[in-house]
Amino acid sequence: MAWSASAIFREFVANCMYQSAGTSFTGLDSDTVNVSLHNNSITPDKDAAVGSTGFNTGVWTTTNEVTDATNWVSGGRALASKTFTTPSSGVVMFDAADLAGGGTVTLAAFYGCLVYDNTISGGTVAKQGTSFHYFGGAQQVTAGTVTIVWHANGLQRITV
Amino acid sequence: VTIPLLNPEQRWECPNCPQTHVTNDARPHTPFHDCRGLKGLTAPFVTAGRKVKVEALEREDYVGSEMVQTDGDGRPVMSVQTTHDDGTDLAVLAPCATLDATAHQ
Repeated sequence: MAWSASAIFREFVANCMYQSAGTSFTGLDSDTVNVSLHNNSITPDKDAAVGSTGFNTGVWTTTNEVTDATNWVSGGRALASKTFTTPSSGVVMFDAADLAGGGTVTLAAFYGCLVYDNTISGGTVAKQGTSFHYFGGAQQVTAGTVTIVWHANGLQRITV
Repeated sequence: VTIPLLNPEQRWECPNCPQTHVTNDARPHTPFHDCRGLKGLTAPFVTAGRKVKVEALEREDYVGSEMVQTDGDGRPVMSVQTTHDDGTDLAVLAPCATLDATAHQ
């Protein structure tokens, strides 16, 4: 098994969206939200137990993380210019500015990313994942720049 | 002694369409544009005068129910790769993670 799709974690909805006691979660707007890159040795699961959805837990361990020594280090990079909008009837959208590395990087093959709340330090799991995004194949950079261009419909889109 | 902070002018172009761009930012950055040559994809500019190849890489896996990014022909594209003399740059076109709470089960 390996990557096959993108998804919002069930436990993010069950926990952070509905309850935040003891987690230090204050909202994705005010918390620091990071993006880490991962290889194809993992099988992401949107239904994973909450304890397995955090950065460096479950399949998201640093063993399977792809990093650059200087400009995309372990833990990934923080999103900027986060927005939360209701663009049409029944739709909620979480978007952010496209995310670039800090400069020139060399990255081995990565297949997707984990978007996680880097502020969450309590509760069952720290750095709880909110969603993961499958890039559809191997992505590789050699002595160049990397930018994640988010979809026009945002990072996350919920239809109610 | 007063030391002026200079913001050098940087000229950009695209090898796939006529668009050009100018920035004045000393920090590392890469401006993007909607490229007609790549059928409307969001693609990076490259430093003017630099010989590079900028190409769209088609998604290698099933789309399924994924909300992926597509070009003007509806072809699913996973990234735009820039190949230069000493390496590669990459703009990854990430899919949107969706949750549909309206489906009845």
